[in-house]
Amino acid sequence: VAEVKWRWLTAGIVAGLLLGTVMVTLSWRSGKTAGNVDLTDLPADGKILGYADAPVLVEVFSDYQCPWCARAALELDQEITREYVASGRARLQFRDFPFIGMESYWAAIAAGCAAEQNKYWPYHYKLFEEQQGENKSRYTEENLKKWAQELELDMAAFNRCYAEETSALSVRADYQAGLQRKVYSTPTYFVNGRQVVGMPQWRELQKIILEEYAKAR
Amino acid sequence: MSTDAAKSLGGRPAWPAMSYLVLVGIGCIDAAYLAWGHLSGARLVCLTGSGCDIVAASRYAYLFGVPVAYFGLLLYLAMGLAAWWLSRQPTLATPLAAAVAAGLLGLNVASALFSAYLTWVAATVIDATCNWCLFSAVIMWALLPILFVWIASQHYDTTDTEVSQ
Repeated sequence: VAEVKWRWLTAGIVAGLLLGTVMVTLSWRSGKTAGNVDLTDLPADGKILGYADAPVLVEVFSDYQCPWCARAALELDQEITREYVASGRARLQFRDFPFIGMESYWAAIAAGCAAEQNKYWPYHYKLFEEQQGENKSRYTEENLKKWAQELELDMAAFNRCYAEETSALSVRADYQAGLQRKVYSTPTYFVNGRQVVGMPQWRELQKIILEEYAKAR
Repeated sequence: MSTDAAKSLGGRPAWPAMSYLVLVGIGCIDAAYLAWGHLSGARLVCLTGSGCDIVAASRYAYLFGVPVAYFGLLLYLAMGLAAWWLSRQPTLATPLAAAVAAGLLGLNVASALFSAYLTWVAATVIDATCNWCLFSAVIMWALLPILFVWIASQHYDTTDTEVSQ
């Protein structure tokens, strides 16, 4: 009898351990991969990425030539996109703050031209991927057009926009907004208006986003 | 219920069954509150500021797109149902009763393991504390030894029952 009892108990414990391991594995994998999204699946309104009714707005004032901005864009911004933009909790808005040099300005103009063709985000990330530091003659007209071509933009429209600086108004408006909001360093994040200067740790930024989400919901 | 439980256990101590059912009931209320928070979108009353909402909004709070709180509530309900049914069985001599007891133990072990993992995720990955989730994890772990004592003290054959009765 005792043997029968222990056989049942052991069976229960072993089954529980197996089931528990499966649950933990599934949750971990699901948590890790929940945000693997394609940028083209997300709605974008120019420099704003995400669903219009998302309760949190993450703004980032940034310069295409600043090395920390590149890191923030390629690490933090993509993490924000995966974690919160794709799930409809936040929108991500890029604000141009070109202060390092003329290359920063021309890169911002070119990105604005990509926005006119609804290709802002792929082009924006391309610019950061191609960054090699400050004032290295990386964002030349030739390169900016070459990357636009690689992303299959309508080159006639892009060239016209670039030559006429059609997007300059938006770039200048962002820069002025940055000055008014006392941006003195890039990147500077604003999460529903809460300012985070410099490149924050992901956990720090995540906490602020979630706090704002909890407040707004 | 106490008389029934004492009778059903064939003279064995009734406290494990009763404590188990009471704790599962409390766990059910806790899980129901978390599930209601997801369903209504209301902010949770939280001892740790916004920690509960932060954990609830995290992607680890979902499994296949379904809030983990719903699974938690279902688990508590299933465990409560199985425990209530077991508390009314004179012995675990029938294969069905023995299997339900083993299944309940399995479910409890799995839930305890999963709640420990979620507590770890909240503390290290999400970096927030949710007192309701923590409370549920404590209940899950407290249930485990009680259940073990309960079913290990049960009879697993009819002869044994007759002797004790």
